[in-house]
Amino acid sequence: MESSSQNYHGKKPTNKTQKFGNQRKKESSGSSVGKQPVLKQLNMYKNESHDTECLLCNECFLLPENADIYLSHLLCSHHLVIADTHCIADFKGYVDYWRTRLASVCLTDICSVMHAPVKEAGANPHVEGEEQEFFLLSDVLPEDRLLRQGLQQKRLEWVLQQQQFERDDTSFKRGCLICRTELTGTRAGYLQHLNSAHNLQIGRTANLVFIDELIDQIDQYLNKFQCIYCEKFFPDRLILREHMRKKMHKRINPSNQLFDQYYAVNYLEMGKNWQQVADEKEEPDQSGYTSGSEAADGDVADWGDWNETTAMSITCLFCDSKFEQWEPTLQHLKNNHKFDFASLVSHMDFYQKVKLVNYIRNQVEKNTCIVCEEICDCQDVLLKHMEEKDHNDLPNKDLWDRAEYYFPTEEDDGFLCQLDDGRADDEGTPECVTGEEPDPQLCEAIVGGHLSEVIELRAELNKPVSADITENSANPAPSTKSAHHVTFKDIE
Amino acid sequence: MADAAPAARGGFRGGFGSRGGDRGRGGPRGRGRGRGRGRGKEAEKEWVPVTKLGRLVRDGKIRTLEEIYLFSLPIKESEIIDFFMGMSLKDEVLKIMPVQKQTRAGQRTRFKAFVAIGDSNGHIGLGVKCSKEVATAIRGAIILAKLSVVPVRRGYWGNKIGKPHTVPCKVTGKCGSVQVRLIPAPRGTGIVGAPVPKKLLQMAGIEDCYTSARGSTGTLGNFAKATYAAIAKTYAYLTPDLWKEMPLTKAPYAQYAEFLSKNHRPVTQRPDA
Repeated sequence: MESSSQNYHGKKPTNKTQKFGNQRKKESSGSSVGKQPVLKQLNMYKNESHDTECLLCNECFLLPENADIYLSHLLCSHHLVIADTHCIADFKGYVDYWRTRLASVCLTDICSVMHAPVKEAGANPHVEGEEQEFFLLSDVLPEDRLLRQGLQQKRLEWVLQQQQFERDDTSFKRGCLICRTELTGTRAGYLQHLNSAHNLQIGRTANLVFIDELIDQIDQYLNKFQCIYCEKFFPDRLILREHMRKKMHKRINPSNQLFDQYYAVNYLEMGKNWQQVADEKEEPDQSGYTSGSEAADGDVADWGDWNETTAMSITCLFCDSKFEQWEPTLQHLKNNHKFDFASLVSHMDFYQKVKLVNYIRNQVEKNTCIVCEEICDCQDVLLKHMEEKDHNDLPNKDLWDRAEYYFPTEEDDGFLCQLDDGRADDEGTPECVTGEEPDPQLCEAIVGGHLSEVIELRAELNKPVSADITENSANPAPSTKSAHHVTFKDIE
Repeated sequence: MADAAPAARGGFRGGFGSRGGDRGRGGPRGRGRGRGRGRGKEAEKEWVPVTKLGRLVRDGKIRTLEEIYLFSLPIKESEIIDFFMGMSLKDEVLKIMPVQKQTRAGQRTRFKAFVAIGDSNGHIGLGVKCSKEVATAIRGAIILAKLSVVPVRRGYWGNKIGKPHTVPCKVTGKCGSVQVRLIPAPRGTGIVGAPVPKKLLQMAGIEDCYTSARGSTGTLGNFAKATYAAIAKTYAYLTPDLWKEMPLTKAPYAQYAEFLSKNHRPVTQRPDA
């Protein structure tokens, strides 16, 4: 086996094409030389395949695929050099940004200017060429550095989003690369199969991204009968598998930059690959990692980072307007529908409010007036009817105070999540809300106390109680409604 | 054997020997590959407990997790939770996000993982961890989530038929500026709330519940923590049916003091795993 594979040794493909040519005038600050990860470009323009106009002229180039061509164009035609192009997460976005900026600002303001002699091609090598100006656009300029960091951050978030999708998606279906069995489920399950059944180790699934493409890449290697680790060619599949098994080449070569783009750690910091990130001296104080907020309380800082703008939206009861906050919703109801929700429900307890809201939603969906139950043709007619007849009011209690309206009419109704104002009686004592020392009066009633007092309290609890219970009463029970009372005997 | 063969080849890619160095260094990092032959890294390692509680659990002196909760003993080893609940616990990654820290050498970016863990039948935990690699962050967060597992008390809304399905009473939890309130709901309501508390309540095993949130609910981390605090409060709230006096029992440390003194040697330094 080994001798036959030796015959095929030596034929290696030309190595990793750098995506951005070899224009590296400036080494990235401090880090070790050479291994710049070759990563995916932030690809927001997947569906649009239009060219990018050059920074300074009107020529169009297809970025980021033809970045090398564009860079040489910049050098030859405009004497402009962009530093550290491998650090730019979104070359197209970068060029677009500077093109718009250059409309208002001069090139010499943003670039450093160098003078260098240029020799004409084919000219006498002993004759000095004439000095010409060259412009260098680099992150020495703060604006440029911010731009690059912003693009880097955007790309990282895009990568993590993709990873989240791949983590949750259960509709993945693919035949195993080696044994050809059809595998369905999650990508993690697929990779786990490769690991356990065939000992093909490509890393922890949680670290991987763009897994579909990664598997395609490996598939390509295998179909060309090429070893994924040493990149040698073999005459057929069986010999390849034997080689990979014996040499333990069933894994990805860490120095193979073709696979860098599939590991999330490479997207972490600009221009640093996994090796450099790993070599970074680990800070002992992990809690210092926040997304910018200065928080003294370590615990809050830990949890306070995760901010998302997509809050649960609240839909109006009568029309389709959506709101992010509660106050605007109430305002809208009062102004546009003359429905002063807050005052109308002020005397109700939580469950009654829930029933009312579900009733209204139910009726509006059926284009029925909430007060007179008249059926209208469509929503606009309904709204007009309610305005004319001044039916923007609380309907008769019998209509809505029914058990069927406990259940939400609408799926994920944001309105229902705002009904409880938390100030009411129900938990009785402040300690339940703020978590402070329990009320001494309460302690006395619960812990020591006379038997008779306990019996009395028990009797109190079992009575249907009205909604307004004062905070100072020794009664710790949640308030009970008149129609449906929940007794403590019922709980467990 | 693998080492002998490459010497004969020579000349390809600078020799296998130098790659061996890479393999060692690159091994645990980045790719997580090749820890020796086979898939040794997934094999079960014998758990050597370092805490007294761990020692008692390992030797079967404590039968259920609830005995630990009864005495509010702090759980410092995630293997204890694994021992009692192993298979039934399902973890879910809520979010991975990049976070940054300004250092003298520039900005350091790391991955932060938020993980929730629960068995959909009365236990819930939340963990957050920051690390250079996604897998490490997730693993660390899962361990912290396991350590934070709390029991969830469920109750009835109206009739006491079937199994408990909702929270026993209105409970509130707070974290940062977010305040979450859980309100009992009749059977069949489902969970009425935003996606984050909904997921947590489902993992805790609560079937029906109304939720109400105030504060900056955009801060999903605080939102999750507040929901977790509210769920944990269900057992903290003393309802009248718990008023009955129960006889005091000895805490496990006291009960098994002799056993511990004989079998447990307190370790001063955690041995490298």
